[in-house]
Parts: sequence; C-alpha cells; structure tokens
Amino acid sequence: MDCLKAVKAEIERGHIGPNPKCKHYPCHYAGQDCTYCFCPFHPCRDKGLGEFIQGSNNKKCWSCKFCHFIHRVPVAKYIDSRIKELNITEPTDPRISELFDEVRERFKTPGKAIMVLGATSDAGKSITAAALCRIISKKGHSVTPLKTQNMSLSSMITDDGSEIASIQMIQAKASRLKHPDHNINPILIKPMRDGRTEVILNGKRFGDFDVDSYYKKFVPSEGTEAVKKSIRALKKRCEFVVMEGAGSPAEINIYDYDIANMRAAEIADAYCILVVNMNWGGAFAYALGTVELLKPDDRKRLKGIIFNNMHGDPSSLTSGIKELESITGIPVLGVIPHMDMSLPAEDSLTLRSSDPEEEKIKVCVVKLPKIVGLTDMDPMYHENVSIRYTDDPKDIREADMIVIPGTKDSIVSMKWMRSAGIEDAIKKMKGKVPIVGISGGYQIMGSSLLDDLAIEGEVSSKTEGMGLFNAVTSWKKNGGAKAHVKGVIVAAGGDVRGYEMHTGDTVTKEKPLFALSTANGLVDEGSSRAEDKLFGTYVHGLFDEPAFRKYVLSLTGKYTPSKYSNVSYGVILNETFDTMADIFERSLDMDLFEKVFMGCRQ
Amino acid sequence: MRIMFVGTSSNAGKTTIAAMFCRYLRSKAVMVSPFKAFNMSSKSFMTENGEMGIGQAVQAWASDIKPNVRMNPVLVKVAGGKLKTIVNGEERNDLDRNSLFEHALSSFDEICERYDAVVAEGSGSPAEINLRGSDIANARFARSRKIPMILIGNIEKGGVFAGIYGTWLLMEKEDRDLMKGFIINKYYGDDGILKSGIEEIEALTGMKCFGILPYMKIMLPEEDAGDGVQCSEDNIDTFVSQLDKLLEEVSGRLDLEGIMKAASE
Repeated sequence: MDCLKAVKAEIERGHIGPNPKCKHYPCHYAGQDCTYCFCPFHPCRDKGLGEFIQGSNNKKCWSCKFCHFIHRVPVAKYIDSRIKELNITEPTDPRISELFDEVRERFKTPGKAIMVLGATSDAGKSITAAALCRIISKKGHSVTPLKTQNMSLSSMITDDGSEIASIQMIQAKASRLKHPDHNINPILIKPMRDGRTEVILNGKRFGDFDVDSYYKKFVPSEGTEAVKKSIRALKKRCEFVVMEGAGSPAEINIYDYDIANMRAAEIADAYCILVVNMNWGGAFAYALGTVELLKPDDRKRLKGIIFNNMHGDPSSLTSGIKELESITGIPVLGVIPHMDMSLPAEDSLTLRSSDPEEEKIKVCVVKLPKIVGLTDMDPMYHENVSIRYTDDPKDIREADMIVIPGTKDSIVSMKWMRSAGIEDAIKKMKGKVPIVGISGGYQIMGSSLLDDLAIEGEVSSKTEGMGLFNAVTSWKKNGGAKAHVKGVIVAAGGDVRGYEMHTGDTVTKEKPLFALSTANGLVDEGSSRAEDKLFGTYVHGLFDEPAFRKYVLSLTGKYTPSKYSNVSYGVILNETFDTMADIFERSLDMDLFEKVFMGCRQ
Repeated sequence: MRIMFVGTSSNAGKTTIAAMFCRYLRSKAVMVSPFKAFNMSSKSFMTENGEMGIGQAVQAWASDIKPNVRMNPVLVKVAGGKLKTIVNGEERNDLDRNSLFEHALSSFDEICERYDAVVAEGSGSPAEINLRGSDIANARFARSRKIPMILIGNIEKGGVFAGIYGTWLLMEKEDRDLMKGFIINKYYGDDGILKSGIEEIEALTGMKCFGILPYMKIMLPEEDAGDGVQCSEDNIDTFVSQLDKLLEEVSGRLDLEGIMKAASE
C-alpha cells in the first residue's frame, strides 16, 4: 500500500521534471522526468513496456527496469495535465487505467533509429555515434547506442553480467543510460588464431566459427534472430536508437550476409548517415562509391553525409561538397574538424602510445599477444604520465612503472614474455618501480599456471609463472568470473570500482590488494607486496577512481598531480562527451539533422 | 610504353607497386624510368642537380639508372610549417600551378625521349573534385599525354570497392577511357571471398582487375615518417633485393604482362 500512498502524493504534488537531487537519479537516464517516480499505472502489464521477472522472493513481479515511458518529459507533463483536468485525486480511481490507454495511444511510438555508417573502418563512426547520443540526450530524450555486430578484443561487462564491446558501454555513458545491457551489442566477435573467431551472443559465449561458417551458418539463423530481438527491445525502450555500422556498408562481396550494416538498418527502419574520414584523401570518391554501391532500397535510407577529421580549412571543400550533393542528392550535414581527443581504443591495432617526455612518469604497458582490457589505461592519459605499449625489453628497463595488462591467453603470453626477454627485464625492475598486473597479467605474475583441462590453452599444460607473487592460478570448468565489483584499497584506503572478466582463478599467499564488497561482506581480492611495489588484481578499470592511480603513481617518486588527478574517470569521460557534442553541434547543420533524423518520418 | 599508377587514397601502395613494375620491366631488359609529376613530402633525396622525391630515387635504382631531378619535376617540401617548391631540383616559389604543370609536362617529354618505358605515379587521390583545375599530378597529366592509368585500392581499412568505383565515377568521361584497370592492395584474407565484388566492379566500370596483392612488408625509405631506411646509394642493394623478392612473391597474383600490354596501348 506504500506505493499507492506515494502515487497519491505524486498526484497532489504535480509535475516536477527531472530531479537531480534524488540519490537514485537518474534511475533510467539523465534528463528523465521524475514526476512519477512511482508509476501510477504500475503494473501496466504492457509487454511493450515492461516484463514479468522472477522477484527476490521467487514470485513473479512486474519489472520496469527498462521502461522509460513514464520518465519522458512530454508524457509526464501530459499525464499531470489530464489528472488535473479530470480532477483525479486517488490512485485507485478507475479513470487512471483509461488514462493509461489514452496516454499510450498518444505517445507510445517505437523509438526512431538513426544509423551511423562508415565509408571505411576508422571513419569516425564510434565517435559520431557517441556525439549524437549525447546531443540527443541533452535535448531531454532517452537514447541508446547499438552496434549489432562488433569485432573487437576490447570488451566489458554490463551490470547484468553480459559481455559486450567496450565502445558500446562507453557510448551508453554518452547516452547517459543507467542500465545498458547486452542488447546494445548482441553479437561480439573476438578474433582468435587461424582466422577463427569466438562469438559472444547476447552477452554470453556462443561458440567458435571460421569465416565461412560464420556468414553461412551463424548469420542467417541465430545472428539475424539476435539482431532483430535487440532492435525490437531497444526501440521499445528508448525514443532514439543510435546505431553504428561496421566497416563499410558497400562490401558488395558479402552484401547479403552483412547484418552489421544495411540489413540492420532495414530491420530497424533506420535513417542513415555516412561518415567519411578526410585524413587519407579520396574522401569524395569513397563517399560517392559507397552511395552508388548500395542497393536502391538501401540508398533511400541514406539521408546525410558527414566528412570527419578535417585538418585545415573546411571551406576549401565547398565546391566538392556541392558537386557531391548534386550527384547523389544527399545533403552533406557538415565537416567535423580533427579533434585532439579520442575515445578508448577499440582494438589492439591502435594502441595509443603517447610521446615520452622527460618530466613525465614513463609507464610501460607490455604489448602481450592477444592483449585485452585496453580501456584499463584510459584514465592514465589524464595524469602526468607518458604511456608506451612495448615489446622491447629496453623500454622496460627505462620505465618508471610497468603494467602487465590482460590477455586472452595467459599461457601463450607468459611463454612469449619469457622468450622475448620481457620477463627477465621486468624481474630486474622488481622493487625499483611499481609493477601492476591486471587479470591475465596478474595470473602471469604468480608462481604457476595450471591448465590441466586445457581450458585456457589448446592442450593440457602446467606453466611456470614469473614468480613475483606466491600465487597459483588454475583453470577449472565453470571457473572464473564476470561481474561488476567495488571495494577499497586495503593498504591505502580509497575506493576502487570496476569489473572482473576472466577464466581461471588465483589462490594467493600474499596480502590482498583490494577488499571488495559482496553480498557476504568484504572479500579479499588480488595480491599486494607494497615493499616490492608489486600489485596484482583481477579488477579491470582499477584506475578509473583516483585513489589507486594516486597510490601507485606516488610509488614512482616522480608523481606530480594533474588537474584530473582527483577526478574519477566517469567525470572526465562525461566532460569529453560534452565537448565532443559541442563540436558536432557547431559543425553540423543541426536544423536539418533534427528535421530529418529526429522529426516525423514519412 | 607508358603507365601511371594512381591511388584511391594516400598510402594505397603506389610507390612500391611502381618500383616493383620498374624492376619487372628491367628484368625484361626494357630501359625504364620512373616519374612523378608532383610530390609533397617532408624529406627529399639530394642529387648532384638538386633535390627530388625519395620514392622516385628508389624507383630509379630499381630501374638500374641514376636518380635524376626530371623524374620528379615538382617537389613541394614541407619544413617547419613552411612550403618550399622545388622545380627540377631548383627552388622556385614564384610559379603558379599552370607553369608548374608545364614544367612537369616538359620533363616528362624529355624522359620519354630517353627511355623505352616510363612508369609514372599519381599523387594522393585523382578524385579530389574540390581541387579540379589545379591538378598537376593525376588525371589532367594523364589526359595531356594520353597515359594509361591503373588504380590501386587499399583494402586495409575496408570500403575498397566503394573507393575504386567512386574514383572511377568522379573521373571525367574522357579520362575513364584511360583507366585500364585496378589492383587491390594490402589484403590479408582469402582471394575467393572478393571474387563476386571484383566481378561486379569490372562489369560496372569496364576496368580489369590486375591482381590482389597481400600486405607486403618492405623496408623502403619513408617520405614523411622519421623512421625507415636511409635513402642513400649505400642501400641500393637492400632496396633492389627486396623488390626482387616481392616480385617473386606476387608473380601469379599480379598480371604483370597485362599491365605491360596496357602500357603499350
């Protein structure tokens, strides 16, 4: 009955708009209307909005976790005005359910899909999609990113334990969404050995495929199904779905099997924007060629072109743009200047090394084979450090701090480090500089790696680790973890927040690095030997909060804080999105964008 | 015999493929010279008559001849944010685009007289429609001297079919007749996957696919980057032996005879 009381109070209070002061704000998305924190229509049982789930007491209950309907500003305003007109004062008033039908009829439309395509890889799709998400979010709408199929080794865990590509998680932050789930990247492909790939479907491992079986078996069945399901779910949930294509949509040799581009656009009924990178030259040719190679029905979806990464004066392009517009009949929405900012790296091909500078702390990250968790280092780019990804023992010897990152194959990585002379170089730095192992890197720092069941490797094996920690990692069936975690640094205090994603578990005799909060209270995690400056943990994202950054960087003896040293990475990222959105808004014809992509569609 | 390699973008692989083709013609005992009308670079090679582009110096060595400034008549050097125009080895900042073009043409004519074959290289993409009219190095040049062109598409970042088709579409109609074919460069995968796409582009444009080349690791001097091998006569053997090895690797994947035929038209 408490809920009814709350609804009654809401009815009496009237419309309030967003309520950023609430400690739960935003429970769904930033900018949401909080007038009806308790929904007067609950449980509406409308499967187009919510769903029945198994509650904590094992009873069926109606979940509104993914329903944004009541939080849309125009919806809340309208309900409030109708309640006043009808003079409704009690939540039990039978006219409430009539009002629900009326509001649903008036406002419930599936979300509009906008798809960002690229003429090539690295065209700037991800950044464009992120900027559009932020722009739309700032206008007060609920918006979600979506990439139906992403090939990347960089993945993260959603709060419901699904594994998806990191970049979509980051775009969800640009969208200011509270609960991104597997639907924003239903298919994640991780390259493996010999052209084979591991497919993660709906956030869970599905199987290994070669190119042929992927396109001919997986795509037409499970793949297409998953794409349809995700698009349906997200369009139901949000007012706008900003989709991102993969590679070029004009790969005519695989056109009909391509569920990352025009097939997805068709399913979502998306209007598309083509992004072309100016940096390599030939941009007009790539733009025109892409448009002309799309099938006629697909071409109709293409409603705008963006030229990206322009060095120099965009007015030098004017005559070319006019000609392109007249040939294609598609407007150029704008030219985005080259930006000195980037989103976290999507794949290992673009490891971002920054230039070493004398006065900066030199952080060396070992370029392991099948390196993962690339986003772990992102917060460090905002400290007074230079970051170098390296496979050269010489760099290790000159480092002020060493990071052994995550890897998709710890055993292969360990053997590689041994043969490349990296292991030896790192051991010689023990005690002199901080050495941090993350996930696979942590496993490597231990004394042995036991893979009796051939889970990590292809054959059963027992491998000697670096022996920096008295810790043993072994792989068992159903071992490992995928979860969000938070806790504190045991030795120094201060928060840590992140996620674990690993196969294999480690038993350590060292002091713990973190104490993580779990349902069963605080649990020790990782290994720490502060006197030798050795740290190992399974927690990805360990540098996101300032405390651990400060703790290890101080141990270098060269630490000078930057203006971001006390700022958590979430806040930095948020600022980055705002800046990016500003640049896009200034560079694009926003009236045209709103009219064509956000307005009513024919 | 005259041929010009043009690219769908920078870094498509023009310089290496042209050098390789020079080497191939040399192996057929053809007297060949490289040529690039216009080069923009931060580094250069110093001959006794002045500076020229690094790529053309290497291509000259591949042709078993001495680098000569006429092989790269117009070199724009970028140094410390300033542009310096070098024409046939001498600094000339007073010339407009049209006179530069005339200088390039006369150097080309001179080279043609002295050699049986000229292997030319375009600059950037030939389809920069905003720069039409001021083009020195690409279609306008090929048109003036009726040089057959071969378009190189870099598949590394995807969109290669769009890049090739779009470039062809943006060429003037009379220039399209000179576009004899295309090469897909820097490919990692299985050729069979590309087949249907290549056939479609051949049908759409009438250009012929002369081959699919793998990603080739080669240590030639870089024109802009700081690293790479020193562009010096001491390294001629290194360059030439690498090119010979590459030629061996791509024989069977690249229709060299076909290109020779196109060059003779």
